[in-house]
Amino acid sequence: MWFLLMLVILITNGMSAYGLRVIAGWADPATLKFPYLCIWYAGGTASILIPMLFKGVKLGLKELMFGALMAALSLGGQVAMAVALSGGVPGHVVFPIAIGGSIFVVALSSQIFFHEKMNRLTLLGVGMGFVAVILLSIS
Amino acid sequence: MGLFFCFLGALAFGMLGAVSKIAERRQYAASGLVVGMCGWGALAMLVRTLMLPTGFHIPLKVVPIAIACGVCAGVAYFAYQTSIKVGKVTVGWLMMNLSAGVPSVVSIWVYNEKLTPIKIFAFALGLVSVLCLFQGQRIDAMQATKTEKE
Repeated sequence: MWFLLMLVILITNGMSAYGLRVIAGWADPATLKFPYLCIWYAGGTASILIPMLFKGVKLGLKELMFGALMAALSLGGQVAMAVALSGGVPGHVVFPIAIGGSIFVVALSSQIFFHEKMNRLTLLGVGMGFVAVILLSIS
Repeated sequence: MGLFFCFLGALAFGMLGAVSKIAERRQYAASGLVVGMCGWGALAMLVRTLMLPTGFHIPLKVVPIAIACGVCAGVAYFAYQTSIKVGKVTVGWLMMNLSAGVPSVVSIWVYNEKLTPIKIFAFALGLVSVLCLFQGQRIDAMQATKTEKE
């Protein structure tokens, strides 16, 4: 189950960002960004909400409220990156710091707050993956 | 000042990954969380779009791409939120970020983008990393089964 979920994350999350690359060749992404993201988020909502409705699963208020916090963090991260880029910081500096830093924050919180233990192979994988993500964001 | 916002971005994204784990510990439903996150995000973007001088104007051919990519994002976050119940939050979050390699590969294939030595090295490292993470998870699962039997 876990392996399948990891593969789903790799493929679907990778493809979710691909749209901006496609539309960049068609029109000015700066003018399209906000309406594009509005439809993008709506698509994400529908992908989970429609199966929930078919299965008769109710939407909990606490999940909806916690989701607001998650949306604020997601949008906050995007805005902070956009401000840094518009402030003259080059992309090859902004993306490695923002993406690499987020992995560092998650790794640190997993050790301090959630007490997750990693075996040597997982630790090695995380280390190599961290470097790979930094290199991908630079390139 | 620009660098400060880079670190603020890192903190916000990192907190998003960590907050997801808090939600999991509180046993919140993954589906509800994703609907909440994407729903509020859509609402915020709608308000921001309506504030633009051009209003809600988008070429029709962009709409199916935005929907398809949004569906992918929703499914990806649902898979991440579900995976942290059984696996480690760091590994799940790393996988979310390693997925940046997928559009890079597709761009090389579709747009004939240049395959630089850095990209080749990053892809190779990413692949070895995924194999290590998978094997690491396998070891953890085997140890858990052994402990249960004892």
